[in-house]
Amino acid sequence: MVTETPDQLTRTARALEQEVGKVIVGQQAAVRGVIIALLAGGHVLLEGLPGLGKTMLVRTLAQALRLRYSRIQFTPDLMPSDVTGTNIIADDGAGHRGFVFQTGPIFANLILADEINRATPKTQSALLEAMQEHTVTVANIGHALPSPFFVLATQNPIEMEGTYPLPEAELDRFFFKLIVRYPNRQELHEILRRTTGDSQEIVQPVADGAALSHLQALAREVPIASYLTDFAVRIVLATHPDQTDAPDMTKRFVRYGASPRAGQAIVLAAKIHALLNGRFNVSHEDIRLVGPPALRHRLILSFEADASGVTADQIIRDVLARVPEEAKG
Amino acid sequence: MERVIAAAVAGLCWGLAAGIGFALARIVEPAVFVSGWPIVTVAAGLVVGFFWGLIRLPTLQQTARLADRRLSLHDRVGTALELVRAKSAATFAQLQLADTARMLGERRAGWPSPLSLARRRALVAAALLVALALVGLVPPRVPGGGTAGGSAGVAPDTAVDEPDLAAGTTTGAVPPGSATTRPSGGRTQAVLQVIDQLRQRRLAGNLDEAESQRLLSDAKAQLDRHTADSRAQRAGMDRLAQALDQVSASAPAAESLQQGDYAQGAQQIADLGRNLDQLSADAKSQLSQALRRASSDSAANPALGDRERRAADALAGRDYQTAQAAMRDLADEVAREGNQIASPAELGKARDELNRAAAELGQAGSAASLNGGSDDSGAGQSAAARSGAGNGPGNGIGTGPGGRGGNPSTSLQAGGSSPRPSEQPSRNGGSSSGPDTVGKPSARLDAAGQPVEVPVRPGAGRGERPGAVATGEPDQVTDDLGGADDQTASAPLYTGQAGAPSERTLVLGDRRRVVRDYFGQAAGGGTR
Repeated sequence: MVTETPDQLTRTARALEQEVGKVIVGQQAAVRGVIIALLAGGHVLLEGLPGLGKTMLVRTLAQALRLRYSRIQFTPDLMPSDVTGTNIIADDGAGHRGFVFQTGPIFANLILADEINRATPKTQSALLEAMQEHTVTVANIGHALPSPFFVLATQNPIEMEGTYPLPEAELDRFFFKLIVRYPNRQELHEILRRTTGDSQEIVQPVADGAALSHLQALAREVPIASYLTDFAVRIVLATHPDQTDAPDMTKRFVRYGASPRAGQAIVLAAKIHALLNGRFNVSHEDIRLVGPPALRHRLILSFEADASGVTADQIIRDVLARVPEEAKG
Repeated sequence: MERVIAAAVAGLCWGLAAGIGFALARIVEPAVFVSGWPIVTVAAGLVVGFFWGLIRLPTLQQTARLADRRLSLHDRVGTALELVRAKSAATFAQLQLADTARMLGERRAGWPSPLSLARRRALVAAALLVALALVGLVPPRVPGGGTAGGSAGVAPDTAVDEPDLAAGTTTGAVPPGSATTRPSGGRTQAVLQVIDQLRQRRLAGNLDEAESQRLLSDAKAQLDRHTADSRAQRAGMDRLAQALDQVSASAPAAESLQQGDYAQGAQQIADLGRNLDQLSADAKSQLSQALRRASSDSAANPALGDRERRAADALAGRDYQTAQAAMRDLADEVAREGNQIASPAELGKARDELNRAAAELGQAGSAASLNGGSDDSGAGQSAAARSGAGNGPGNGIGTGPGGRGGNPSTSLQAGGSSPRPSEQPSRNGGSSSGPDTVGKPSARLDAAGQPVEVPVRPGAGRGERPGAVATGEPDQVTDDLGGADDQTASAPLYTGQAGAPSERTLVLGDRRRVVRDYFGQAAGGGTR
């Protein structure tokens, strides 16, 4: 089931969308975003109200990709060792006792970090090394995580009590932050029809971990013109308030702009987006489309933005509208 | 090609925009901006745009990106160009090049023609052209206040040299350098221009007697009209000054208005409006009543009367903001009207020019008749001062009509029974035989400050006492102060309309009421 050509990549991605669509009603943008992130090897932060299918989306993806799936319910009393695993004293049967590393739930291909903002920063930070380096270090011993490794975290935007906002370092490690919107009337009808009947949709696997790794490597080969890379760079720079060319909205409402990881995410996601649209090159349109999910969690807004009700998405829209396709000079 | 056409059309647009600017400037300053400039700028814009497009050839990358935009190729050509330059042999590079070639082949036919690409700019150019034509239809403004009757595109030097005095305008261009007597602005500008034209045409020898008389007569009529207008406006200002003089806080404004400094008067009225909260209720009430009286007398000047009435109403009310705004409006109106009032000096200068022109044309009789029009011009005063012809020491009688500035001293000193010597002998110290001395008599006011018609007689000639010419004894004409005016002669009999209250500029503001009351009693049967 190894897919190695661009055409196969496109077909796999579309099949994946189709399988997920059997279970998840609507949410095409979120599903497309998750697939792009998976093909890019990135992690995804899903934000949405309870009951919108975030957890089901991740579970369905795991089924469709035939990946080892692990769910971690983040709670305030969750400890880092509950995530990463820990050394325990074990008897080898010969009377010798020694420390043995007991792997945690993070040792899987697809991790669902459910309600990740309910855990303390200490536990949240246990994911930092795993997300960036795909390893876990316990008692000075590094343990490699299985490949491919994805973290799909969810968080609820309205229940702020008893939650801990994710640290910027961890937010930056998420490739995309996707908003799971509320379904419309037709989608709600379909959800009710599917979930209240006796029929059960069977999700067929369309790829496995190895195929996914090949597709990830393939996606990186999509060419991008230098002026398009420059366009992405200018977009990232335009989120920094200390840049002279930054839009006024950025200067007023942004405290810190997006990191270089944002640029990496934009370019990589644009490449996959181009492939999924049947092209072998990145265009301005691809960059504009993947800009918001790649940037929205990487902007640190000022107090004035909070007070004025200005969101990161508004600022990003302003940036994308003001950064010209043609560079000055 | 596309770029050249686009640049040429863009240049045309800029040229048209500049042409509109010049056309607008020509309306305001026809002497500076000639009518040919818009055409020149349009042509220049077109040429510059064309050559700009020629010399700025696009690079390959620019062309590739232009093709991407034109054919909606999603940056295929731009990326392909970079891959070709990099000589990339990767699988994706080959796939991308093949895809680009295929898409280019499919969509090449959709490349729009250069003309259709420049359609939007061409539409803009057409709109600008229409705008330029419309702006060109507006006739240029003549500094005298109106607009020239010439149509757009007609150069001033080709326009008809026919003065249009009735409209206060002229269609002809005055040759540069000839307008040495032309002031920078004002209501007498048109008259001075006509005089200039008259001289020019006389020098050129293409002016007959009848035409010159007609022009002089028209100029005189217009000058008289300006004089009458200014007089009426000054009368309104004087009424307002009287009203403001009722309250000590507004006395400075009244003083400024009486002295003809309307700008300062307006400023002081506005200041008074800002400081209304410092006025007592009685003072505001008194000022309100006085303004209401002034407004009721301002039938000849409805705008000022309306502002006065509003100010009076606002002062009677309790709303400080409304009163302040009303006073500010009144100040604005005073400033506006003050700007429109031709000063006596200006009128006198115009009348002097008119007389001089008449004299140059050998029309002494005409000049004499022209001079009798106005008492506001101050020409008599200036002529008397110039002539230096006195009527004898201590006489103190100015026989010239006197301008507004000359009126006060004339009125007070004109009474032969006045025991006081003239305070301004140099200004009023004698009669003159010049034409200026035969103007209308000085303004006269009654005790209430209202203008009255006073029959007077002009002096008969140089160094002669007017009375001696006709009857040998002066006519005793009672002026507003109860004195006798012996400046008048027997014939012909003129009636003069007072232009300004004569006593006000000599009597200090705080004493004026006392003087008025004093002479009011005298006029009402007092024996003093």
